[in-house]
Amino acid sequence: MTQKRWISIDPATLDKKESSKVRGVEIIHGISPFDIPEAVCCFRSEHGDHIVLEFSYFGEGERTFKIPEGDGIVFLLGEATHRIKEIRLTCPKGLRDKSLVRPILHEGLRRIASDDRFGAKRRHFAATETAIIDAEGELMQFCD
Amino acid sequence: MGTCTWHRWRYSSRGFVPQEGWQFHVQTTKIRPKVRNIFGGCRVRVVLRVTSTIVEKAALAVLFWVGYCLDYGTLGDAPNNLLEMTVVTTRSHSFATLIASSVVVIASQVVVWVCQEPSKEQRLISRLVGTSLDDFRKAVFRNVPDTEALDHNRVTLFQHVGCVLWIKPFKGALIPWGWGRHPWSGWLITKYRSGHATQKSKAVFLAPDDAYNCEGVAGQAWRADRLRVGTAQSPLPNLNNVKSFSTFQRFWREFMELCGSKSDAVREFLQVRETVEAYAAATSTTPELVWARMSTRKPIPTSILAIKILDSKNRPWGVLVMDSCNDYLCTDVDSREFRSALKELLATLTRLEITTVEGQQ
Repeated sequence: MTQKRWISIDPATLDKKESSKVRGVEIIHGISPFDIPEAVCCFRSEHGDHIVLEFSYFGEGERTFKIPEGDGIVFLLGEATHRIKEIRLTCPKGLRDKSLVRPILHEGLRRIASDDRFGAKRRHFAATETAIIDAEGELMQFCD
Repeated sequence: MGTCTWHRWRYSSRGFVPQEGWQFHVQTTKIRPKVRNIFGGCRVRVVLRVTSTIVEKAALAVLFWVGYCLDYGTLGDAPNNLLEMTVVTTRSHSFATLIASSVVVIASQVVVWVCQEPSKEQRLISRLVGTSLDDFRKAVFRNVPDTEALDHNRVTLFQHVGCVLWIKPFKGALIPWGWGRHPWSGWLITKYRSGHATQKSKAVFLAPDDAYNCEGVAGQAWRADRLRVGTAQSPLPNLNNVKSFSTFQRFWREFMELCGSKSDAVREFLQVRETVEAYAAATSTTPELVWARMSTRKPIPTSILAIKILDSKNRPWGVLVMDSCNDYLCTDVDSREFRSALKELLATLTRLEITTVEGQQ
């Protein structure tokens, strides 16, 4: 099995805070630190037909459940927190056009964010997508 | 006179180890430990607890005696000896004695329960959590000079509980929990706090199932994961050196205002009232609670940061609140310093089974 190599994520680049003012006092809302991934790693599945993106957070050891979103993409979400623990992409070895991966990811994340069950986690999904884009260069080498 | 060494302990991967640079050599007196224990801490509590225990034992002995007398057997018309005379007397008052003794036993147990003090294990856990919170405070309030009072930059851990029997100050005019609320509404209670001062605070915030009514910055963080109220550019109004008005003074000045008075006293009151209302609106509390806080002369935060904490099963457990009464604000949640300090604090809370869900290994 491929050795996992974790790429650390800078949380400051992920969280787009929302600021408002109440009678002159600034109030800033942000994502819970528990919902911001600390690191991401990418590896090929044992059979070699999938790329797996795995995220690490505060408070590990949570059980997950699968959410298939369209062709070629499966999300594994935390049972209690609904945060993305894994993304599995169908991506055969030797894929020539790597640019195909990004729209599939984007579409999958857009669909899952529009699901009413996970409405409270939209900002987490957006942060996750930003994390993937930031680490894209290193992640894409697994498509070869 | 002797010397003993006090260590400040910290939790590490090797278990509890003395923290470097935190050893104190203390001169001890010749007072024996037992004497020190009795007269240390709260004397009234100890005396009440010991007295109640003695009274309870006495009441139990009386109950035993009444039972013995009732079971003594048949007695003749004239008692033969002192024992039989006592049995007859006890039997004639047995009902009242039984009731009185039972009431005394129950009351004594209530007093013992109220006056109980934390066990050694609870004290050790409190000390370890306190040390962790102190370390966390140092990490997140990086620029605070050592000369600054500890209670001006605090870290408080609130736990969400289903039931709170008593709240002070009252949230309603006559009801501790406020109008339309009850002990089972859902509350955030103070569990642990950094530093050694302001440890007896019983701050309680409403955090009900109808989350719209969550109270305070802690309550809003419980509802919305993470919240900062007041920044360096737009802080909360500083109420620390503002004149406080009692309920009667407020009522009287409002009455004067309605009467059209424009005296200096009324104008001063109106200005303070506006500031208090702005503070209450920004912190999601009522102006009455802010007035009550001002009347106690306790420091009032000018910046508050709160984040929701999850338990070992990743379900909401409570809220961690960092408040400042000075210009030194808590560092940003997304900074590496904050995240690594939070990670260490959460690890300690999990190891000490504070955020561990019951029934989980």
